[in-house]
Amino acid sequence: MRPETKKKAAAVLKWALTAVVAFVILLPLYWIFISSITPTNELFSSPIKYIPEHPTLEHYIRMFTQMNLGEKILNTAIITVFALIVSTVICLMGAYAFTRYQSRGLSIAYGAIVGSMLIPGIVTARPLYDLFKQFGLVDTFPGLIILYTSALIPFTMMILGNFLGEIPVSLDEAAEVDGANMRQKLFLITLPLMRPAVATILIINFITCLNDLFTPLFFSQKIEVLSVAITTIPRETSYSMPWDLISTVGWIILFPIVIFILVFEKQIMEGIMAGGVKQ
Amino acid sequence: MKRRKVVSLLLTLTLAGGLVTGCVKPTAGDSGSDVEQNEGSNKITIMSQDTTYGEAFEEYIQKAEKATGLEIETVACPTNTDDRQAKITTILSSGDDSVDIITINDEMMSAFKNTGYLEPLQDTVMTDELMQQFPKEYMEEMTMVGENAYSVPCFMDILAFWVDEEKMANAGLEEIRTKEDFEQYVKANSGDGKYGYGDAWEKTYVFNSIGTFVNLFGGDYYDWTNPKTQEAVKFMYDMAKNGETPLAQLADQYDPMMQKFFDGDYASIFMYVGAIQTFVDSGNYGEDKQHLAQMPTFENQTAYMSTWGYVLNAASKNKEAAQKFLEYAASEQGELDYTAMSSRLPARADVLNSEELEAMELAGLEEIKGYVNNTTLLARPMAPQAMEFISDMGSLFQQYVSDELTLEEFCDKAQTSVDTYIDNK
Repeated sequence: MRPETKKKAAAVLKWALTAVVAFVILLPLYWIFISSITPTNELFSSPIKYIPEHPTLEHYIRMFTQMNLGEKILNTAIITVFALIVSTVICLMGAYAFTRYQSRGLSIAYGAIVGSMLIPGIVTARPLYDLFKQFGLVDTFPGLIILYTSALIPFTMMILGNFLGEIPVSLDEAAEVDGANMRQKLFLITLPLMRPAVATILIINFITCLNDLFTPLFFSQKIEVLSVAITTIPRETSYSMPWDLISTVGWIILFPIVIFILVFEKQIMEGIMAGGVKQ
Repeated sequence: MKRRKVVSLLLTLTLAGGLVTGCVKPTAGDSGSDVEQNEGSNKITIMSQDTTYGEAFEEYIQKAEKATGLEIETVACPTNTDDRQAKITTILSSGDDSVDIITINDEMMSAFKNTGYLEPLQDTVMTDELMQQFPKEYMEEMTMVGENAYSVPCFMDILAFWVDEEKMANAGLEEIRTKEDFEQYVKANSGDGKYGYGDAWEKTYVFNSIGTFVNLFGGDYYDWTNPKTQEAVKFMYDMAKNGETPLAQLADQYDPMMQKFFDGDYASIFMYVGAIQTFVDSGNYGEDKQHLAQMPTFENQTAYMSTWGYVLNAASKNKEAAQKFLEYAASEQGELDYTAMSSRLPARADVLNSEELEAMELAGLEEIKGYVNNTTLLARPMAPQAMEFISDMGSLFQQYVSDELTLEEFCDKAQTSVDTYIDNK
């Protein structure tokens, strides 16, 4: 086969694979979207209609007027913002310590933090619930912020740690020669170089917080967040699922994530690549 | 290298630790009466999925507050089964006292009634006199353990028979009263992509249909050596093989089943009367169109019933106040107020036959009364691990109708499933 033909075949294969993967990923999103704008009585019509005949926004209007989505969005924002700030600050300092200093204790601590990612949330839910109940933290903003933060820390620590490992120690040493103390080395030398990684981790953690169903479902009752809204959708009867409304809330949750990813795609990829490569 | 070893060791230990982390002892014991009470408390918290009724639910709660003098706070509960059960189980099993009263269904009742998480109510609310107003067999089977009664039913539902009146003429029938009528009606309305009988044979939904046929044939769901039990599933199998009911329904739940009924693809179905509003909304509901019919008599005339009920958290610190609410909920007025909010059927027989209920003009009320008065209403066979049992039986049935199992093999495995889930309760 001639090299040009080979190149063309490879390009065709690449694009064909991309198209297939994109189709598999995008089809459910499309399906959720058209279900959210299809009138209820047309939802199960046969044959299936891939483009709704009578598109409507009535489900969106109903959700915003009846489900108090404004309050849920505010609660989500409060918890997410605090969790992002606290987890990023803790992890920046922690990752700096873990990568710049070596000791058995630090290795153990790092292993424990990263290892905690391997424990499924459902396993720790009950004991954590008991603990939080004793401290009066169930169904409180501080309690939820602590839980969200602790869930973000392991992954954040790992990504920031890997990124820090790529920044030459010689920069720190040069600053030390110029008389910089540890605080100055961290905040004036290293932190500015870590902006892409911090931006990436903030975006990824934002999406994680928005998607988290488990934590608010178990640990809050009166404080409702956006992800849990999908579990309290009005149902006409116990025997049918309101797929139109579920799709609507699903799309309301998805929408900011999709926008975020479209806007910050470059930073996310750069941060992950930089944080993921070890020398 | 050394660091990597330490990290690997820690990861292994974390994984091993993770496996046992969730093994905690339930904190609510079997003596809820030991819980220290807030004397004179006038405030309770109710967790209910009825919050989705919005303003109507708020009005109901206001009526309850007026009738009891209580201050009632409400907390929303997930409306989907898995999340709801996980959340309520966490609250009850941890001895959480932030919620006093919870609404639960039969599945959860089966899971909780033997655990000590719920406060018995027979001495305070569900007295013998009151108990007589509720369906006896059902209450004993589903909501009681020995003398202890745990639930105040707020509404009931019946798995009823629905037919399409316009298709009755195809079979030359005026109504379906016997097994032979049923067979004739189903046969006459099958063919050309249409089916005389439609169902939802998804593995967790088919449980209801198997049980309904087993009861109609006079079988016993717990005894798969019983020839009548076997005959019932053979009957379902034959309908599928004869093209009188579609095999494609193996993936269907109630939504697509109802839609196919509305579209005229099915001539009859079993469906809960609680879904009647969906039938009305479809525009197909009416005496001369699709409607509720009395259950045909095969060997028996039986139907499943279910309820949602209020239960009292054993860890509650406001039991006296909570009991006041439960007394209201169990009263005639309480049941009527609940029905006014939800359009669901009251569980009390006297309320069901009351003039006040008649005045509400609920769709299908006369047919439903016919069920209550003429049909034997039974509780569904539930295990403490209700969903596992339901799923297991459903999977076996699917294998049977797909010819992966013979009738004999299916019955053997079904009996094993019963022995596993029921005998251990």
